[in-house]
Amino acid sequence: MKRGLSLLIIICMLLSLSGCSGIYSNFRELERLLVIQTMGIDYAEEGVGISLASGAKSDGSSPVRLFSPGVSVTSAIAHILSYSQEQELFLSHTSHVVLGEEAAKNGINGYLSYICRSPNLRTDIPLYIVKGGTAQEAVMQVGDGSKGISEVLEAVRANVDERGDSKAFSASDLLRDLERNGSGLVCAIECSPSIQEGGTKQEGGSGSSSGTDSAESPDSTGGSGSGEEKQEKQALTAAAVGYGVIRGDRLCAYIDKEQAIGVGLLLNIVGISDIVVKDRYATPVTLELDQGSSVIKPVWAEDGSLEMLDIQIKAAANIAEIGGGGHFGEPDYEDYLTAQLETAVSERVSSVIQLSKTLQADFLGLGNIVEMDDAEKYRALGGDFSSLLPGLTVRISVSGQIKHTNDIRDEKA
Amino acid sequence: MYNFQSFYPGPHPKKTPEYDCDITIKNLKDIFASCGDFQFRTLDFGLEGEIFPEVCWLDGVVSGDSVSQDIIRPLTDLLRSRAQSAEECARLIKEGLVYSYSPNERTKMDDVVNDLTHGHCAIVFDSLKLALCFEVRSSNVRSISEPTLEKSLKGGKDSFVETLRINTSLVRRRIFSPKLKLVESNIGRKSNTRVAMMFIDGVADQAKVEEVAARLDNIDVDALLSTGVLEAHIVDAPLSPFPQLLHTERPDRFAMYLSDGRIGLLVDGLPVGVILPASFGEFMKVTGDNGMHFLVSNSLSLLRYLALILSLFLPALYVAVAMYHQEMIPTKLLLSIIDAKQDVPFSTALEVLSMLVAFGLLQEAGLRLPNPIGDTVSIIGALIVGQSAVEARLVSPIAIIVVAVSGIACYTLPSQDMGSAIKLCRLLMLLAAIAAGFFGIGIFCCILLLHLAGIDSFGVNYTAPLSGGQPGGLFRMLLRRPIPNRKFRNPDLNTPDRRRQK
Repeated sequence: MKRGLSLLIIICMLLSLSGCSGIYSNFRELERLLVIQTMGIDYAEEGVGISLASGAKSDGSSPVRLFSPGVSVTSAIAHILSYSQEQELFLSHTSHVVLGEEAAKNGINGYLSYICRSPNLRTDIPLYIVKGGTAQEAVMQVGDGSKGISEVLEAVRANVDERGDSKAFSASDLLRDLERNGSGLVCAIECSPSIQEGGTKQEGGSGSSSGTDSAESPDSTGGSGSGEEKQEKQALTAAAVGYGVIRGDRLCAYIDKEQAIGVGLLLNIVGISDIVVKDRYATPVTLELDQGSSVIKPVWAEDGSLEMLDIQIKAAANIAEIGGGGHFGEPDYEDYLTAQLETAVSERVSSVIQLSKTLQADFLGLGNIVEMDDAEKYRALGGDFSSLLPGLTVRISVSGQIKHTNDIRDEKA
Repeated sequence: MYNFQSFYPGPHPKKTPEYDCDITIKNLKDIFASCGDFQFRTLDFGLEGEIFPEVCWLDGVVSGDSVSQDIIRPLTDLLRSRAQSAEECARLIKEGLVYSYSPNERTKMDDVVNDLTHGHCAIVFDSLKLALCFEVRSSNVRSISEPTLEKSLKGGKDSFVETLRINTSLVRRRIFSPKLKLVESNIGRKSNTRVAMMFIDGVADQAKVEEVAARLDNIDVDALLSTGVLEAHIVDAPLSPFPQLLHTERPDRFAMYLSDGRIGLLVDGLPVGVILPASFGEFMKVTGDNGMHFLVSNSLSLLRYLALILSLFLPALYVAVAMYHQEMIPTKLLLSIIDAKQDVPFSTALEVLSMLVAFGLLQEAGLRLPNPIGDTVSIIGALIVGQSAVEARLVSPIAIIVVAVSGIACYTLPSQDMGSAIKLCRLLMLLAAIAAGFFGIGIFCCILLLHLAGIDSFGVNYTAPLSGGQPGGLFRMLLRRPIPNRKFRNPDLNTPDRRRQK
């Protein structure tokens, strides 16, 4: 009896550790949840504009999209909440955070701070910047009748994970890079008319708030634009277009898809990417780059100063497409293509390094590599490594390899 | 032979002797008054015909042919019945006048009554106040058949029956050694049920043997007609829902456990053997494990433990996740659960609880009814009612899947008793999950572990081999080595002879 009573008392005491109370209870009715999967953040005059989108529904109806401005992210979300009392916004499954270009240009520290502090958002959520557009546009208009921005971004993420022309870095990745290097990269996306739609006007409610959901959303009750205007808008889709470079806490430049291949090689996150070169007959040859790595080594002068950075890159590619069938019987034909591959890779890497120098933004983490090589000498360099970048000599050497010609006449193939 | 511990007899001790009177036919008739099957016959015995021993028996319990042929006929043979006095008559009978392998001279009425009820025929000498009893048990017993609950693929095809002596012989046929000891006792004020304790001398821990014997001796009930009565009176934690005695209907499994150093109990009238001590892990093993390759049996063992976890945790986890921790499951799964739950009018908790109750009802209905009807009920219940309930949006399909998977997983547990305990715990865990989500589940798990770790089964902790600080406990519980590598017996059993093989 005493034992049981003691156990009961201990359990009651443990209950106080659960964090549950009348106010802070985790209990939610499952069927009332509106699962938000994408959050868009825009800069607005009064503070911030928040767009939210749910995922696609199994019954084929369009995803719910909501928008509200506010002085802060919290107040904007609270405003949306007050208009969606029938359903409870559930932000814990937010899988993508999209930043408008203006918002990124005006500083993202506040947004990153919100992501870190919010109990509903994880810091491993991938971030995207809408190149030349707003997050509201992306969240409210991307997708068709049954798919929304969440599904499109999911596809984008899977695509960039496989390909080497971008990568969806998470909020924690960006925070780490900003803290360590003073700058970082964010996946850039661009919204454009859907190819499937062929540029025709979208019918129905897709791509905009519609039906019951739109009636409740702050968007349709005075948020941004009327329902008729939205009906006129085209269905958009989104695609990755490289990276946005964040220096300090602001967007300062974009890296296009071609340069992004160089970023991938320097960061050792090479995916499958295509490089078009020309053979000695000026025939275009598409090389599929699928393996590559880089070794960056600082070269120290005798006086302890940083003489230069020696970057050695290995790149291996297959021939994916060749105009006219190629000339594999000719001696040195493959060697010529290999040289072209090395040149193309070198150009891309050089351009990225040059951009880093120009911007004085160490988004490649070169300073960190130097520090890891010799911390004492790194400290002796003094100052911010980014400021040393413009005067830094960089030697790039590329070792290319054509692994497979994929030609039936080729004995190696 | 054994120094059985004496116990405090309790407030209402059994009256001993129960029949404190002389052995006379009159007293026997008084004792068996209103017993229609009590039969007796007075014999005119001796050359002068002045000796009148009474032969008595319980009809049906003894074999009528044996009584006539082996007892009465020799006694009435004039050439053989040359005794001059009752003493000489008794001496002649004991020396082989009647055809019986087990003459017992009884001077206490309790013994005579006991013998009569256990299939003996008694020759009563009023003048000597003694009786000579001979076993002439009726042979109308159920024949040995295949086990019904523990199917055997490669092992023996026989199973225990209701007759104690047949059961002990089945075990003897597995262990041909005089070291296989058999200690019998009678339990039950009214039933006087014979219980046999079997163990292998030198292998079983002597302290445990004495402990079991003492506990058996201390049982003072009206009747021992089921193993439940036995279990309730000899286990260490009778209030625990978890089984603490292993039951088996297979003599080969019984013998295997005896050779491990455990103790077996056989009860007259029950076609099951009881094994002790038994820890939690033993209830997860099946006899067929030893007949399979160790990799196959290990994979099946892991599958059974997975089934245990599914059975115990799945409904509670589903309810906890659906009610409190929606952020913990993949987004697509959450969306499909929400879609499935959209038009269901009941809360998740009520839904799962009602499904568990419905599942229990179906199971009970299937068990109580004859096989063909039981199958029909299952089909109607599971398919028609279940499907209709989903179509009518009374329950969500995922709730049905969760409860069904949990129920099916429970059926894979080798022990029905353990399955029942798990079902009870599943319900309690579900209530804890409804009350406090994962926190509730965590608290219930702590209580459950505390409870299990607090149970001792005849000196062996219930959670052994996980407890006790022996290295590799988890490995030994979940997996088994190849048979040639199993050199030693289970150390938890404290067997004097530790080595199992060279």
